Amino acid sequence: MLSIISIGVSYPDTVLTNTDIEHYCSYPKIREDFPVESRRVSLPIKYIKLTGNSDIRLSELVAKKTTTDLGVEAVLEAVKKANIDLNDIGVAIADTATTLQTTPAESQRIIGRLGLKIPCYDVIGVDSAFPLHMETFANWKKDRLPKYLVSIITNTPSLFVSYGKDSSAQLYVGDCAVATIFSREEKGIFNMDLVSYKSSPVNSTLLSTNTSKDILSIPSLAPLKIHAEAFSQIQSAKLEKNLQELVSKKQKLSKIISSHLVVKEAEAMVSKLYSSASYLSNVPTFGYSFGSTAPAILAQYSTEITAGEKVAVLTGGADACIGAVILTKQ
Amino acid sequence: MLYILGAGHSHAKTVITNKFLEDLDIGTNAQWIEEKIGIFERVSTLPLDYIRITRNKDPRQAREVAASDATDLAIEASHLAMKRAGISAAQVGLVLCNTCYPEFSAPTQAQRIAERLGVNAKSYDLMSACPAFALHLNHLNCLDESILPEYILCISTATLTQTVDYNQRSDGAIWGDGAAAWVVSATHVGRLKLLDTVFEADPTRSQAVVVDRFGHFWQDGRAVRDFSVRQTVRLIKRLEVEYSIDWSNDIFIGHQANKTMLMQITANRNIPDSNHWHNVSYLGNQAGAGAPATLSMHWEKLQSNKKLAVAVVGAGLSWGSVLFEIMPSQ
Repeated sequence: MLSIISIGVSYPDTVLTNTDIEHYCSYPKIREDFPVESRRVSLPIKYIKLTGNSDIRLSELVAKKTTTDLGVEAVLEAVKKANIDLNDIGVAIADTATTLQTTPAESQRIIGRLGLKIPCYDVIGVDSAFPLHMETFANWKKDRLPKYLVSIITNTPSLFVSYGKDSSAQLYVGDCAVATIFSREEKGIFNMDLVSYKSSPVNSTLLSTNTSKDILSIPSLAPLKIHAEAFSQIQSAKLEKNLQELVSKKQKLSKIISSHLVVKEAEAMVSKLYSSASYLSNVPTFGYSFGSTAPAILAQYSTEITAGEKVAVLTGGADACIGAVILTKQ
Repeated sequence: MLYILGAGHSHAKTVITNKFLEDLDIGTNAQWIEEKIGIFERVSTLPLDYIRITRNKDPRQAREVAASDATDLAIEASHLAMKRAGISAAQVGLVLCNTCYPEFSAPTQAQRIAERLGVNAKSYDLMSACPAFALHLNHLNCLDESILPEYILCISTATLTQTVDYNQRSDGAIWGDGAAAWVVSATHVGRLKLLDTVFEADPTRSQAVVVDRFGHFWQDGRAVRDFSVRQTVRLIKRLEVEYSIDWSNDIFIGHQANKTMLMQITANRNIPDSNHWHNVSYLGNQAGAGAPATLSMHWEKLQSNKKLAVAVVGAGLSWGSVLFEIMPSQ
């Protein structure tokens, strides 16, 4: 049985509101019911105003927090909440879509900063990193398993976005890191009931079509692009698929979490297909941070979920994957 | 029990000779290169004129002029591996990929390769730079075999010549571009039976070898070389003791960083030339593809009743070993 012992989350302090974007980025008036009201960013607002982050190669130099910084903070918070020693962690895996160095692995950058000498490597699942990491740990042979394992998902897309009147990505992305400490030996705050991670790269809209790169792409050497309308349609399709599977499995869920860009669309879908569950999100306030988003929402609401309640964390978006985790609060 | 059923390799076509590097007038010469690192030629996806004129000052240009990319090389290597394994793409149930220099963070390299191969299965990036061969096999070896699909395709691909600053006298001599792939199964017996895997890391030294997302490759050469030799010898010694390795019969493949370093290691362990397989002298350091590409290039020379030990080290700093029993050809 895989248990979540604790979850640590780190956000940068700077809040970029829609008003900021209108004023500083010469963006046309953003409608009042726009799905994202604010997002957490690692760039100083003054820098965004002066440069529009037009040369993303310079963003690291001015960033208040990097992908690695947030990852380190999230791990430290998770360790503190777990009431364990940092040296008790036996293995670490990480995911990021926004690394500043393509080598070494992001896990090694984070764990190195923490001073640990443990096996660590990257397991990249992008939006579905959380179920992928959980599935990995859940299927580990017991005799090769350390007592505590940590999954780190960290993203700072704000460093790789252009801020200007033509960029829609700036409206949605926010920075966030989540570190989750797991154990198969010890009881935690959540037990894992079910985990699923599936890919279907062939015929994926994000891979094989002529417009794939325009829907979402995170090139290594160019700004991040999101076509929000098309992307949220992909998210909706995956959310619907996930919900239908849950219905067929007759899971008694009280909460459903996903990283959908448009909360109202997700709420409506959950209400239609799974009326017994309420939908949880923080994307309107913190922005969308790829794989960090869903587990960060879980962490935010974990104290409001009561013992015995089941929560589903459903993922799928910026890749050809779809994932689901069902947890029971202890 | 895991087996490797087939292995494949693919390399860039443009040859960079030591004379070419000498003619760049950057303070190196052919004799120095051959004595120091034992590399006579290396292969690159970059045109020679591009290197000569620009010295790859801006790596973004490298992507635009490259004759092929990491995905192209991976596809070719994968086809050979699947052919030797006697399987089609449709039979692959999992794709794992390692790369030091991805073109995109999302979708992942594994998904991009899977889509082009026509593999509609679970696929994710599993990354730790040069020791990828050991990482992938150790990762699979840690997982409960009952959940593994029938055939798993592992790939390591990198085009690190695109990250080289060709004004630096040593960096240009090191790297070569290539990919390797290997098909693994827990269900079917193959030529190589997996006996032992190790993967470890000391990420407190993770900044000793870096590829900046927007910049060039850099390493603390002396420290990395010392680490590489010491760690490889340590890995081999453990295998010698635990598995009664007989170097008059058994085969060794090391990390293809440089020939001089490999000669130091084989001299230390009394491994005869005839049982030391390598490819670095004429291909350069192909990062995580080096060792498995060496295996693939010697595939037809595999003889049963021998053991094959692979010890790999690299960025992270991370390292690992794999030991096989070579099975009879079926």
